[in-house]
Amino acid sequence: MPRFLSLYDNRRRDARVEVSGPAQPPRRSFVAAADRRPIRSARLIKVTEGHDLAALQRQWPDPEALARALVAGDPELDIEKVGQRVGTTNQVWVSADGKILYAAHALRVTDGPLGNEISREEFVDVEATVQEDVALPWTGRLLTAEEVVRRFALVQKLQLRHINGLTFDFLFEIARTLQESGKLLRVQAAKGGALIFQRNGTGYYGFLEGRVEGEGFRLVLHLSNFELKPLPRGEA
Amino acid sequence: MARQLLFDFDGEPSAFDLTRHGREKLHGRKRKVVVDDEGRPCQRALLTEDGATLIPPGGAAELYLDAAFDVVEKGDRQAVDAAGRALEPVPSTLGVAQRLVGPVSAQRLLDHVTPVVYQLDPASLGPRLQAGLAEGGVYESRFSYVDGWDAQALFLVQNDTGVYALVGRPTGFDWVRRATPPPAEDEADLFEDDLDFGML
Repeated sequence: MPRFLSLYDNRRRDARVEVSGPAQPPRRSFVAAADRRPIRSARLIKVTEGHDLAALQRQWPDPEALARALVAGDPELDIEKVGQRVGTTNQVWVSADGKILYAAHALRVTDGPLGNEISREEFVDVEATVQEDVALPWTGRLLTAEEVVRRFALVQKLQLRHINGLTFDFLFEIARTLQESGKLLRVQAAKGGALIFQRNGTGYYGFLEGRVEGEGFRLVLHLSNFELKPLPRGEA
Repeated sequence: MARQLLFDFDGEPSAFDLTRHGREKLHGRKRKVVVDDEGRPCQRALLTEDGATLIPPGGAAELYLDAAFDVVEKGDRQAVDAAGRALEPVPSTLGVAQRLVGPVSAQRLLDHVTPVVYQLDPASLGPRLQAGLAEGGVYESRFSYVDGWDAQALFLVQNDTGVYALVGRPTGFDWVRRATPPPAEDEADLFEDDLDFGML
């Protein structure tokens, strides 16, 4: 952040504007309840490769033998490393036998609502559909606020803001247009379909809401990734 | 028995069973699985910056330490605000009747970001609340699933398919004026970990 996006207004003019997310919750920290001494969170090494359960089970497949080994020699403890701070790390992929992969082969697995695997195929990146230099169209499809809040879960929001005097006027006019309509504008990607803000990111339905107050405006893009519908039987 | 959402709407009690809702539960999901040469699934692990230590999944522990490196258990902590003032604990609202107000405007709900959704099954529904929901009313209360340090806003809505609770917090979006400065550069990236591609 900040990020930018482009959009059209109802007069087919487009402009690049800035977006920002909701305010963060008030900052808080923790102290020890007993005496208010300061404490801080830490991430420490608990187990290292070769000492985890899977590795120990490979070494001692017989549970009885593993139990005896645990009692006799503490093979689960890497004395040199356990308790150290994790520090900066890189993410790697490891195979079932604990070896680092140097060439990862990715699949896309589709699970059904109840967690059952439906299909698996080669993984193909899905590109973002929201880009700074490709304007989102004015769809003209308007929905009332009452319909939107009762039909969609609005799980994320972005506020649109100007980057100069011209874009202030541009956004103010959009906000005024929407306020006067009393409705929210359905927003979709330039080529139609879901709004995807980054490669392989979640797809969203978008609803643009505008309000004006004096010389100020508030233009918010409400984002939803599911409708309020009953869960499949077995899940609810 | 699972705890319920209980409401007091001007002296009229209502109770709901709740089930967590979400896109994955509704439509399933697509996920990225990395496999080795033999097609066996692999796991993410952490390699320390010096390349000397490989930490398997679940091999790191998150905990709180004091200056002497002694562990402070979760239940022995006290939350404080930015000025160091102690925050009041907020007990779970489940199983405890919460004041319900409304109907509130749809804009009131729009002024909140509500990433948590529950599907509700009315166990007992007061007639006035039932009528208000059926007319499209939005009702507001407060919610905390577990004991914590802050409660969130909860909105009750009903559509043709059922009753839902939407839980979240205010967006905090201000009016934008011509002289409004741009947002801070270090604001968190909303989509930084947004890699589930579950909508596709």
